[in-house]
Amino acid sequence: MGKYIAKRIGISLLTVLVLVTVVFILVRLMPGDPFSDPKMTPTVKENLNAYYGLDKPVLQQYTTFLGNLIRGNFGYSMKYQNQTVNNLLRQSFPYSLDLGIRALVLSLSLGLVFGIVSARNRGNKIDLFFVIVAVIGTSVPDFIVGAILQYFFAVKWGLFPIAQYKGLAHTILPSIGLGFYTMASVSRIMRASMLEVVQQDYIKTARSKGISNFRITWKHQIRNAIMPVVTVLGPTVASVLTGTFVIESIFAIPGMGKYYVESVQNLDYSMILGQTVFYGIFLVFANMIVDIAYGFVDPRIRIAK
Amino acid sequence: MATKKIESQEKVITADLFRTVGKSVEEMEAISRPSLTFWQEAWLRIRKDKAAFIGLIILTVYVILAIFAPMVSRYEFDQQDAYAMKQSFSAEHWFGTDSLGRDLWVRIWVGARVSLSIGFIAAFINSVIGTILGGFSGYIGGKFDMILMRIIDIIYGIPALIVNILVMVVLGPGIKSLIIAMVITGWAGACRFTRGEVYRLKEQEFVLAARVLGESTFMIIVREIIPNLMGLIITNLAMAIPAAIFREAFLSYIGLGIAPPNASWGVLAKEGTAMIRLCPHMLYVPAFFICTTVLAFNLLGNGLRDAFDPRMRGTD
Amino acid sequence: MRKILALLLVVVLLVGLVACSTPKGSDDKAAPDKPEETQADTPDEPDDTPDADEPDADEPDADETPEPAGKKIYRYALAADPESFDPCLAHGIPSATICYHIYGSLYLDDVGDIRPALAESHELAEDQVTYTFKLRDGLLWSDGQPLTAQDFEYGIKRFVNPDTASPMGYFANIIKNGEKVNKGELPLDDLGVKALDEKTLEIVLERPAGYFLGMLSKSFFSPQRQDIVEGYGKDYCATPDKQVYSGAFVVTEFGEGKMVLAKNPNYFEADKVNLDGVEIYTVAEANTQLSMFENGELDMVVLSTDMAPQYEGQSQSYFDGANDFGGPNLRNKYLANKDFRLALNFAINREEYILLGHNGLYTPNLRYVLPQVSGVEKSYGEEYPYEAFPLQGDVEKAKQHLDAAMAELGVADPSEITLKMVTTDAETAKKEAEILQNQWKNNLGINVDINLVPYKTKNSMLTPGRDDFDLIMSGWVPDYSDPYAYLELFESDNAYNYINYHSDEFDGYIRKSKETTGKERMDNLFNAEKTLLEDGAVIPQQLREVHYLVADGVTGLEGYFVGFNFSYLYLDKNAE
Repeated sequence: MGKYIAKRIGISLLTVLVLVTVVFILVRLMPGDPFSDPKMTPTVKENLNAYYGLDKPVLQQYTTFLGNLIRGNFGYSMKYQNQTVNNLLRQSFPYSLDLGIRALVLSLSLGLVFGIVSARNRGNKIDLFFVIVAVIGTSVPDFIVGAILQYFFAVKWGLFPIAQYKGLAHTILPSIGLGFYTMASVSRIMRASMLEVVQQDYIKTARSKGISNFRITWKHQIRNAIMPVVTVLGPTVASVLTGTFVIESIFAIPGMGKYYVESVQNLDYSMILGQTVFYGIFLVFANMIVDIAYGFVDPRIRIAK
Repeated sequence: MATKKIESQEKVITADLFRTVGKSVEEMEAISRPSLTFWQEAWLRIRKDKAAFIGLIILTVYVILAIFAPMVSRYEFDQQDAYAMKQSFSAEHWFGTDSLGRDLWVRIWVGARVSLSIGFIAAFINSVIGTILGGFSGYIGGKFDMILMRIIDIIYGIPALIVNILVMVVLGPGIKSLIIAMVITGWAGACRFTRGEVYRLKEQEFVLAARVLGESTFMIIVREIIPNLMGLIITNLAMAIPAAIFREAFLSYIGLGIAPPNASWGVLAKEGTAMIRLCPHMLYVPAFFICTTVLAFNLLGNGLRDAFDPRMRGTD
Repeated sequence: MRKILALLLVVVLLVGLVACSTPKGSDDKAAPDKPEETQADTPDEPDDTPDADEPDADEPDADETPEPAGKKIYRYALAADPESFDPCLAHGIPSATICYHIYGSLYLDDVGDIRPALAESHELAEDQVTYTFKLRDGLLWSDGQPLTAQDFEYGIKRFVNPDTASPMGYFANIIKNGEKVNKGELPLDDLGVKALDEKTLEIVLERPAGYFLGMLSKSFFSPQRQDIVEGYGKDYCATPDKQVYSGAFVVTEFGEGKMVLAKNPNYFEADKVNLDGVEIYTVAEANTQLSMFENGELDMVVLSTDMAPQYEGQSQSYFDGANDFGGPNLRNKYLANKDFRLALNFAINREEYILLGHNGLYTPNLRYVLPQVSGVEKSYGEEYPYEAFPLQGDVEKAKQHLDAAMAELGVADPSEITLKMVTTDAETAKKEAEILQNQWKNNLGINVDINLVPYKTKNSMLTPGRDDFDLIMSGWVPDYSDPYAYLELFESDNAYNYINYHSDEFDGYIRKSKETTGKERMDNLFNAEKTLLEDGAVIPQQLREVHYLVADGVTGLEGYFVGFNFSYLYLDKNAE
């Protein structure tokens, strides 16, 4: 197991390296360049290119970039000229993370509960209710959810603060807005998976042994049904944390979601790469942990084969 | 546990003590149900499933309206009117007008063409590619799995905006480029998901049985594993469709979607959110259609899942 | 049960992978690097009680620290973070606005009133290019050090220095040798800026420029302190404490979606500054800004033209200087034809365009230069009234021009003509493009393909000699209050002449304007504008008249179109 994990970590690092290389090439294929304000004369552009080392051959830029990367230095942002990418991420990430965790905890716990309750009541009104909630959750885009939550709960009824992120009350609407889709999709996956599992032989066996319904659900069904949720957990964590752009912009939260769009629109090469590395490491290792977790959750799966 | 011995030896049981009361052996062997193919049976079952049938009807109506409504309307979808801006529902404009005075009824159905085709096509292609690759990856495992999963990690890691912008630059704006851009990044989710499920299924007895019988790997995946995944695949697909519709909306929002004056539901909803305070109908109308489409597809999807589930054949 | 626990562990692990605490307070700056701590905190928390396991550290220091009674704090919001408050690097209007308030200048362009500030007076030598400024007595930096002419010299030289890589470096061109120094062709010492003594600064220009004093409010021409710049190196101005200030305010907080300014007691006019401080929040969504304003969280909010009619009678407005216009690429074979360009111009009903696009709130532009810029005595628009195209367009005339163009180009049917129009992906830009597309289709029968691109991508197309657009929608904001600020764009050899306009007549008038002064100069500039429009070389759309709301009790906020958008230097507010 230890050897396997060591190997996986090595491969994960390699993956991140390939990822940043691909992105490094892609950003340079993008139309336009970072310094293209109409008022920037050729001289000014030359100065800026020299300032960021963009006047050097691409290969040299790449090796410089890798060298800095190893030292954990993403360089200076091209939009925020005297801010390092590290500093901008360090300032904004805690907000996104905090919001992301709240949204994840909320959506995973509610999603699982809804899915289980829904499956246990298959076909009746309770099921229908949760199915409808889940469908609405997966069919309303986040910018609508966010706008509606803010408009009704904050602006119209004044129950919560309108925007910014300054205390517990401020976190509630954005967490719901961000977690809504995940909650709904987790509940749907859980429901489908529960129904799948209920037909398995070991459930029939358990039932014929006379084990109570509650125990069957709890001990056999949920445990086996949770697998598909675990599968999507890695990407879900990543998507919740990267998907903060819309919610953060509606609720004026200074998280890193804004850089996701802004850096690409401004062709802020260093910020794009910094973010890619940041999310890439996060994503690759999240998936690694999920893979390893399979072995814990489901004993039938043996990774080391 | 010993079997019970028949105690009385005197009573000898012979065949002529019995007589046929009901069916003869021939009758019993006769096939009373019409022989149905897989698809016929599925269709039968869908028709019986009320919810699924409603879903099917809604989708059919939407598709028909998307095709014909813009043709018969007296407004053009890009016809502006400076004196009829931001109107609410009326006999003139059934769904009101937008901020350029364009009729929303027509725009909804023109938008439906874009959203439905993108939703269906992108989600479908993603699911097919994802399911097949995920199936192999999960079943074969080993190096292939490891490499494919790392490729997926990389695809997830590349900012999707960059991919989209580059596709738009190379292919120009339009539905085709949107679908291609979405497929490039979209199949990975379905693939990872399927692969996880296959991991679970491949250790099960029926797979073992097929392997013992000498089925090829390909046939095992196609005939044994994928049908057993149908339920989850369809559930997943049902969520992939709204995801594709949203994604298009998001791309349109940052200017990478469909070229104006054409619209999609996502674009209309986006325009509506900006106006939520003034004329909320601009938001509610497209949101309603996105929701009902997704709902319809879910209902249909649930029905389809049951219909395709091999374990539920002939159980009604 | 073990498996459930295992699952829980997965969740906790994922969360703990990068987990840290809530994003407030200064003590957790390094928190993202310490996952172990949170893991140790949370393992036996049930994961189905949302928020229960959240660190609640944000509550004590989260409350909106109530201002001590009587403080006058002006609060407003920006759609994006200001990119920098380094006087040489700030280039967006919002950050330039902030710099206007935190850096002192020799002369102040106080919403059109150009008057001495840190300088007491100036003398212009007979050569019309040598300015000698006399500084006031007793000028101080925010840290109490004396402010000298050497600080000005150092500041301006740092701005022009190619190593600083100022994105606004072209402003240096007005100073003697500025362009060459900025290019690195001449040493810094050859720049026409010199401190003659502690209180006397001499600036030599490249050529006479009557508008030069008005440019001095820009932070590029403000003083900077050598010891501070060199002490912090590249981190200069990265945080508020790594800078000293010479303006009405000092920065006390920067980052995390917020910027806070406090009154600078050392400012020479501190007694005229009524505010105790300013708070600037980043709020991306216009709807959110408006809601915050209505909830009393902001003192000013800019209204979109969609929302503005709701507040008729309550809102104020100003021109932000932008003159939005379509730029026809003269390399396109259709657009190279003057009749065709005029057809496009006459086919637009600008009244309806404004009504559809902006609820009639922006001002339809029938010429090119913003009429509000300074003329000789009064405003340019008053002295030189001009309407190049009728307000409602003239479809008849447009069709005549189109027919003439088609005959010349050998086009039988206007529907054969398709133009690629590039604009940005902003909602309003899209709307404007759709209106023009619709009007040209209805009135002329030609097709327009709208191409929405990110702002930067569009900007990168605004250079001469490109073929990736036929029409590009853009605008120009003046750097000084003078028609030339707009007209310089289309000189044949100008680096931003992206429409590839070459007119000897236009160039001639511009050349003559540089050799003349006063009324004569202005006549030449007006003739240049007329030539440009009679050639149909631009397709004017609108002047942005920005509407905004101000909270009750707030007075003295002024909107302006040169260098900054709002001045709150002398703003007053009822104390809270």
